[in-house]
Amino acid sequence: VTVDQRRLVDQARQGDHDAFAELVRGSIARLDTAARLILRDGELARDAVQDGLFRAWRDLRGLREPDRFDAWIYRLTVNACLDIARRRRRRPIEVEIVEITELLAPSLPDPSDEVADRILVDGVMRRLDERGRSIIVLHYFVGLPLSEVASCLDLPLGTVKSRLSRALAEMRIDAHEPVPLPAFASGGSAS
Amino acid sequence: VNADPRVENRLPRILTDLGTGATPDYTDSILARTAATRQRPSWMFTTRLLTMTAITSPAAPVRRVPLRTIGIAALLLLALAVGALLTVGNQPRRLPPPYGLATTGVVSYVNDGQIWVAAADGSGRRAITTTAGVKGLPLFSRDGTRIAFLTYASVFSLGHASLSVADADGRGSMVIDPDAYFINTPSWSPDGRLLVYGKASATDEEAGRVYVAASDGSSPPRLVGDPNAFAVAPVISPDGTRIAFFRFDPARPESFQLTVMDIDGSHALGLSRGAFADIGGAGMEHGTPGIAWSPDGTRILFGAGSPDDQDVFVVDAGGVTPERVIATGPQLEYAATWSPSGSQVAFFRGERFDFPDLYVAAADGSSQRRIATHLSWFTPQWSPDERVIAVVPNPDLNRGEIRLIDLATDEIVPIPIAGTYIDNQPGADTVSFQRLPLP
Repeated sequence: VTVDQRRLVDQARQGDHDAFAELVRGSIARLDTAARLILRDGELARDAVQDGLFRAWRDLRGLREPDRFDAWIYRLTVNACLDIARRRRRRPIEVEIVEITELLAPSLPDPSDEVADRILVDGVMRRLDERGRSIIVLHYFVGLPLSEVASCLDLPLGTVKSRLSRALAEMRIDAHEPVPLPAFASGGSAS
Repeated sequence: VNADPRVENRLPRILTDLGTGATPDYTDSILARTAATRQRPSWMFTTRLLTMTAITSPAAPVRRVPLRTIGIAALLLLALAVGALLTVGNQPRRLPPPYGLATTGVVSYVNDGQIWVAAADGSGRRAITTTAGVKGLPLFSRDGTRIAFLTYASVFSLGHASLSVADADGRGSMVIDPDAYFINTPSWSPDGRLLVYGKASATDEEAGRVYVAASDGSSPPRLVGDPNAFAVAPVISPDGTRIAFFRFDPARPESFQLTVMDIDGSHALGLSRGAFADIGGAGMEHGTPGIAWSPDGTRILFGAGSPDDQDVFVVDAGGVTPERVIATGPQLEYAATWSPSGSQVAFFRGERFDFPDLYVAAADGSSQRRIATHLSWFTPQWSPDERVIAVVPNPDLNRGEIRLIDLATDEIVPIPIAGTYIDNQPGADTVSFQRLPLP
């Protein structure tokens, strides 16, 4: 967490909406991506991010650890995703089709391997339910440690580990391999 | 399992590629929405505002009552119970008005921002208020002659409402508290002269306190009880002499204690003995009290526990015996309320952030029966004749009606409502029955 972000969070907690807007503009693209991965629907993801950010503003004074603002808004957004998924369980989910050719980036070292990996990961993500996808997203995309993923999803740590292990097995990944996590993974908890 | 860290190492980047869509074009719309919304004061978050130091510190020890004292008290209680049985036998005790069974009058509800009433069969629907502002939380007085309600400037007026009282037909409305900040559901005194409620203040949204207001507006609302103690969800006793509420210390975890005090704020007495870190389930953040006096005034129902596991307890209102659980399970049980005769209880059961199911049980918690699923968070309301319970379906699923459920036949009378949902405040998802004398 940068000093600047900490300052913005403190100001937003005092009711400074401009500070909150600055925080939101810096986070919304990745929140949108996380929600798309979980819900596999752009419109539903938009609803989830909006709901998560609305709750973030409204409940900001209840945030126990301002340094964990990033983790907290991901947590709110993922919970909003799960709420939406639960409410709309009876409706068919419109799966957003991403053309494989669009996934190919020319700078990648081995395009054929990359495409194969993406097809593999996409297939596994499709077969998981929203909670299973949330585990993958919170751990590998957001970078939360598994203990915090368990807390966020209100699941026992053992359940998170076993579900993750099964998903990784489908991706032919050894779950015991050390994992390089994205930048802001750290201990502690957000409210 | 075949070891293949290659994919795992690339997983963050693969996920980014799979999930990235067009640059979000809704940033301005969500910021416009948040700009029009007030932040909730931190006292509404109860345990979540605690520091890590407070959370990791051991809870203050509960003072133990000597075994000898417990033994003497148990013998006294046994003697009293035997005496009561010999005197009363199995005859049901008739509760004096305005408690006990009564005739069901109209049901009040919020429709399109105004207070409406309808007969219990859904007929005769009509508005009884037409003034400016969005109305919420209609609540008939115990004798059914008057009605209290909130008025918000708009559906986005999070926190700030005015509290008004009118005749049962909506005429003669007067504001009795123009500054009802983050108000908890009020309760009427049995004689209809007072309203008791919890609220914060314009100058200190962080502090919940107990207020008593004259329902005829003859005197301004006054704070009662310890001005330095945090207090939420006050409810007046059936005899009008005492107030039950939750007292807590925001600097100390597991400090919620069901407490009673005299109506003037004196003689506060802690009733619950357990170490409770949270109360009221999801309902607490929606203005639902979670405290209910039995109609005869001898017992109090309340929901408490941890943020993720709460149970419904009943405790002796005199403070002699500790609370005991009457509804428990892996989910949260909360928003319990007595039937008018005191023979049954209704309560919510559900996950913390999910919409709850409604259960009805005998007064001791036995014979639980699920009545309805996926409801909004406002406490279920019994009809005065005890035949019907009014509920509001989850507004996200069905914003279109309230439902009156016949407990004997399971028949449902739907009453259509237009959406005026007030986010996380006592608002459109609230219903109140008018109580009329028995013929």
